[in-house]
Amino acid sequence: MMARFTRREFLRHTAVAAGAGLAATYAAGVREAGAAASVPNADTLFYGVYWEPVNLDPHAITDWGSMWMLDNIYEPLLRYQTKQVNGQTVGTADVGPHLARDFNASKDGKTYTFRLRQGVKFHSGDPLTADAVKYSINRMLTVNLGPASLISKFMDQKSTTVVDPQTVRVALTRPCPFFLKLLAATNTGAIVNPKTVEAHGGTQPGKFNEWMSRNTDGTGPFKWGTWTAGQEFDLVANDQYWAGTPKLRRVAFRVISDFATQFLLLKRGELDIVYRLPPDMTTQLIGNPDIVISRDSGIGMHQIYMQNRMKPFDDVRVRRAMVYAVDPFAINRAAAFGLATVARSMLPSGLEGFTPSLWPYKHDPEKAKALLSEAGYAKGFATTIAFNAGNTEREQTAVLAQASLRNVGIDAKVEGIPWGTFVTNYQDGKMPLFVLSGLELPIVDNYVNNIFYSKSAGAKGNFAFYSNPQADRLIDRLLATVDPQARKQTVTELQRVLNADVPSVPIYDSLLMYAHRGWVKGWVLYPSGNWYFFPVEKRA
Amino acid sequence: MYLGEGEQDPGVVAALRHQWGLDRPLPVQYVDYLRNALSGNLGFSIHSGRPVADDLRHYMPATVELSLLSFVIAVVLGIPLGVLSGARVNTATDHASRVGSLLFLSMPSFWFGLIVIYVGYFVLGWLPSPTGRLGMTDTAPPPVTGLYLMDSLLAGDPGAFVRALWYLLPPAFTLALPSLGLVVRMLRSSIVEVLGQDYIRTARSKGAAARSVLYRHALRNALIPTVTVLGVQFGLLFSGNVLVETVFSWPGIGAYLVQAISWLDYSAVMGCTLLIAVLFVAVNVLVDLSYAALDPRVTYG
Repeated sequence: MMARFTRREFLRHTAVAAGAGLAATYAAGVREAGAAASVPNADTLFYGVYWEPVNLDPHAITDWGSMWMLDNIYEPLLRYQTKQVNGQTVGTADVGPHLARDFNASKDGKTYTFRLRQGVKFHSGDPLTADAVKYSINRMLTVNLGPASLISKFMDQKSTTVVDPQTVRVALTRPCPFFLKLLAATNTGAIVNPKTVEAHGGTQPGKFNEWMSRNTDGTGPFKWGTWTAGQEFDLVANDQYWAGTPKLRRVAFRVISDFATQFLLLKRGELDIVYRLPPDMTTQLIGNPDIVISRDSGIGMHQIYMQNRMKPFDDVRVRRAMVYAVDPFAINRAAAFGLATVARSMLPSGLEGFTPSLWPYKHDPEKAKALLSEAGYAKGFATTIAFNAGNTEREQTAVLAQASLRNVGIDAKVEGIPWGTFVTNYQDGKMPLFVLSGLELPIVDNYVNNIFYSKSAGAKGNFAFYSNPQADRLIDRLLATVDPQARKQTVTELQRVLNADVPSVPIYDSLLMYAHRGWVKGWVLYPSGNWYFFPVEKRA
Repeated sequence: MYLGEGEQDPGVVAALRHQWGLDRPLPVQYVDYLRNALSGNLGFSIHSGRPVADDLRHYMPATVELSLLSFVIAVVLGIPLGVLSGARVNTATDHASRVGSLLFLSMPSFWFGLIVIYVGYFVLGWLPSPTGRLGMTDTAPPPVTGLYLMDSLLAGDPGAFVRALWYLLPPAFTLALPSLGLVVRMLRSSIVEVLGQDYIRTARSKGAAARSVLYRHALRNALIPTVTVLGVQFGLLFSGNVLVETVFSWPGIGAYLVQAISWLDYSAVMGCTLLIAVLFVAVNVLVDLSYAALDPRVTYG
């Protein structure tokens, strides 16, 4: 247990101590800021972040910070669509035309034809052509880094052909039911300008392009602006954008590593939007008339990973006992203030084939104790739950789990570990229990292949080091199945196996959570986690 | 976040290990590091993707500006307060300054920083936003030295100078407080001690004005221990502002170091540590040299 106060706690305690005297002033201050709200700097969106992009070469990136920039700079042929729910626009995992004006698939699911949108230009002024599409797809395959990992199982350099200057045909080596969804991912599907790439070092197998890691030339609504490391970076409007001029002239990202500071800046209206404030701060914002909390379930699971190769978690009875012992609803209330969707499967609820009715568990300490004694741990055991220090959501989860586990005789120590060490430790399978939440593409094949396939053990995503030949077989079958009914059946079967094995303790769907000023309009959440600043605007 | 990794080709891994020199014995690696460091090559930062030396050059000016100003604040406020306190022992002024300096000395500076931000910026709205070197909509002066105060003057833009100073003051003041407290306490006790010396009585008896006794005779002699402490403090200002930089989103070496640590970016961490150590030693050499200016008995052969 961390005895030390975090800075944030300090701030909160101070605020409480100073509370009575300051309350009046505080309220007045907030009202004042609200009253003056004739939308300051209406053409610039100020975004508070604590990270910086790592690499701007779309065919090389694997981190979200870079992805969120490139979401607005490069565009794929297809993109995730939105739908209207109760008068609100929400993102979906369904794809529709984007740089492609339309597309069709052959009956056997192997050949796809895309007709390109007319009049699309790269930021440098060159037109989008079928050659550029072919070049980009082949470049992604040649670079062969993260974005190519799944799609390269279904296509090669010969797959893409130019039919005419506005038409491209892709012939897959075998049918791929999620090909279009993969192509809609900003990194996998990004269309780059061949002239620009060739002028700056071209494409090398297995390597990103040095120039492109710092410079961009896409077709998107924003161009990459200036980047002052450690301080700020920005996206600047592309006035030539094919779908119209962006309403925002600039999206200015400010590096503010302290969440308490982000929180204050948002309340004062100097920041327009922040991502994933700690839940305790978010709840303080609920009811604030100037601030909107947008949240949704992402494709990912907030979960307590168990190291399946390590004693005692190599015993499935112990793993089941863990699931019975931990109360996900209590954790949702404490760590996510009830904002999250509690797990009813080993799969996140947004994935194709998700079947909550198969979930056999509910919070039941007695059953947990029975299972433990059956496994020979009637007296319990001692273990450690790790989380990355500074993440209050994961810390809360660990602390609550600790209390639940104590009820069934398991003595778990809670340990906060610096991010870098934490990542190395879970990739190497060194921690018995740890709390982690991920965000993945909205493709069930991708999810199960990364998280549950035995060959993905370790850095590729199977951090539980889960291995079950039966699950592997089902995953292999899923990757080769096109028929929707057969796919659903396979996913269902797989969930039965995973539910029985419980490689980890699922708590709730990863929470996408943004807090923004009410004057930010048009901000849409996608389950895939992408950030699109077109057509966002600021108005009263 | 895990978007999936490419297959790890053992050949690529081996090539990388060779490229980074990780396949050689540790002592060889160490000597290599030292040799490279002496020629200004501190290795490559994995989290910024740039040479560490470039990164340090980039982040250094913000830290230098902050540390210098807080040093100036500590000296300019600390010395008069210390003298005042020492010259008026056991008066209300003395008590106030003693309590104040003890408070400054014992308060963690990041905590004070949070109070400054919460009350000064958030509640009262008097102080600038804790958004680093400038506000949301300000643009930096054209870079020459990287010090915004200097660059804005070089660009002939007094408005930018005032803005940069405005954003610099809260973190600089926060950072200065512990040093300020220490200077006041040190100087006070030295002054009290020196004022009891024979030569002060002599100076007084020969009819020197009280002011002259205090400043020409007492202060100069009392200053030596304070200068020693100031030297150490100056070094600490560079190394100890990691937390203050984080709280004020100040893009300096401290912020860079925190990032580097959380990424396990060893080259960057070593680069920062080395830089801070070198600065610390350099400042202390300067302090030692300054004794000669204060005390004619000290000469360097």
